[in-house]
Amino acid sequence: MKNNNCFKKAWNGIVEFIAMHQLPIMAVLIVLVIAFPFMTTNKYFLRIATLCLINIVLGLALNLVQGYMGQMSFATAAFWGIGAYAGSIGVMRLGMSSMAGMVFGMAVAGMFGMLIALPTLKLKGYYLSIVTMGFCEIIRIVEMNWKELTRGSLGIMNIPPVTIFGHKFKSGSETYIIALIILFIVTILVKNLVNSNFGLSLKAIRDDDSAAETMGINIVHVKRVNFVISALICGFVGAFYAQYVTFIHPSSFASGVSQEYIVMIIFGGLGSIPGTFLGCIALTVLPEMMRGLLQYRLLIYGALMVIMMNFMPSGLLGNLDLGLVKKKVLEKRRKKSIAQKTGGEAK
Amino acid sequence: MSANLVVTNLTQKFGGLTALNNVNMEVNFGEIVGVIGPNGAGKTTLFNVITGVYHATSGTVVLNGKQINGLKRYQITRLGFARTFQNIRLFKQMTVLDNVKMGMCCRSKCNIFDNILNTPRRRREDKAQEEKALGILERLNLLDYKYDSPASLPYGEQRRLEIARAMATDATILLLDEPAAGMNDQETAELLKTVSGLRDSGYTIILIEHDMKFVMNVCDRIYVLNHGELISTGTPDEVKNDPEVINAYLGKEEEK
Repeated sequence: MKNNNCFKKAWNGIVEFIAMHQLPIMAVLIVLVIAFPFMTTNKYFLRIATLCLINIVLGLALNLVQGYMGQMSFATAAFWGIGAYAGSIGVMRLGMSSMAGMVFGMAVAGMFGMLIALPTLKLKGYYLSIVTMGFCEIIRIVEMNWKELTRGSLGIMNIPPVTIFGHKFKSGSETYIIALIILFIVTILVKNLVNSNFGLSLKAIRDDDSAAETMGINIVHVKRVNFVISALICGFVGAFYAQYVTFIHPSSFASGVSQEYIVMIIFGGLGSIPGTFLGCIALTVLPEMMRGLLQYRLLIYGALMVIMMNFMPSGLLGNLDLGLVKKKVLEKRRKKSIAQKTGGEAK
Repeated sequence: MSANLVVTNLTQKFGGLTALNNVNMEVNFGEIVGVIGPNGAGKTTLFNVITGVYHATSGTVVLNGKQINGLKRYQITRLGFARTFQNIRLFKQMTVLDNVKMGMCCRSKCNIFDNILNTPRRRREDKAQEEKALGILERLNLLDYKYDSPASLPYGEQRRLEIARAMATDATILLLDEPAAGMNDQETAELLKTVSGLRDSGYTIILIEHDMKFVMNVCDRIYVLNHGELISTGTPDEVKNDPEVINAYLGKEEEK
């Protein structure tokens, strides 16, 4: 018990330290991630790092639905896949530019998101999970069998690489930087969103949807908009992914892939942006380090889920809000200084 | 003074059970109206019908000449109703301050793009909301808890926070469902001051309460429900001496 307290104290200390020095820590981290591709020429490392970035974006999109809105969604891979297929078909058959392809992938995924959101988000609890599970499978089967459009199990090959203003981003370090920019923008947008009134409504719906509606929130509308935003993000990054790897196949977007993202954000922290980063990075890098155990990976994932659900149901950094921690610390210091002042005067 | 809220012939049936039977009620601007009655009399059902949780089987609820039953819950709240819950229903994973700010979300003028892009308009609104929320917290004596989780608050504070959240929706009519339940005498006395202070600053209050001392002290008029029917209305003194009410609470005097 005493040990546990010690651990907790140390942990709180670390979190408070990070919260109080957010800016310098962020600056150091940003410099590190920007410098990363120039420090290594190892293609394998760069590839893992880029995948990490893509996974974090997908994790953020999923966390909007699962962490902040509190409804489990298995549709991440479906929207990701729709974005990837729509984006590459747009580029290869409709003659779109690389950027237009990404926007097209985003729009198509958003449309499908709307299609799912209209009927299902009136429901509460796990119905959304069931519907999205089915949706993911339907999308995979369509990708597999609509041979004229998707070439079925052959997959789409030779997708043109990311091109901006006529410059082809072929090398690993260049695409890494593009992915980094995408991640940066998405993180800022998601952060704005969850700190806004919209985010407050989402959290309220998660905690008690009926009370939220009584407080004047159109909960069905908020849930739908949020789900579509999540789908848009997945679609955009899907189209980017297709242009990055230049080859896509239906099996990359199976419902099992969605589960991996769910594990990532549950591990890192539901309803927390730093948690999403931690979970996605850890669970992208760890499996690569344990290549030899690849067959047992799902077993390890399962065990991890059970352990997390038992001991830390909202993840390592669940609901961690560094801004709030900082405010609390400042408030405490203010009170302390007032107490000291009044104490001094009393003497 | 013109009538603010008029309930006419309101009936609510759940299958074979009649929870409310032809209830008529009138609440004027700036009044504190009490709804009392034994357990299962239909008091909370009345609140639920007014705030749109249930759609009445028959009868109307009219606010300032506009019929409101049949509207959705959030629409009714936007017309100026806000309620608290008998079993406290705060948002437990949010801070006290966020709980209050959340009540203001329904009045937000920002659209989704303002929210995503954090535009100057959104920032201005956020600042105004923060100030207003702190003002409400200060008024209800909750300022010290602003960054705490509502679950860690003492019971009386949680009840007050529910009132704070209801006030944040810019409501003109507050429906308080057993605000004094589980409070000790001192807390009840404080609540009494708070509630009458709210009336003085322009709120209309309808409250359900079992604590008779509290009800008799704070209410201007009282409605008594029993088995879904209105059995008496009037000032606290009139209601106290109504034989029907005494029957409902204490049982009939046996005839000798």
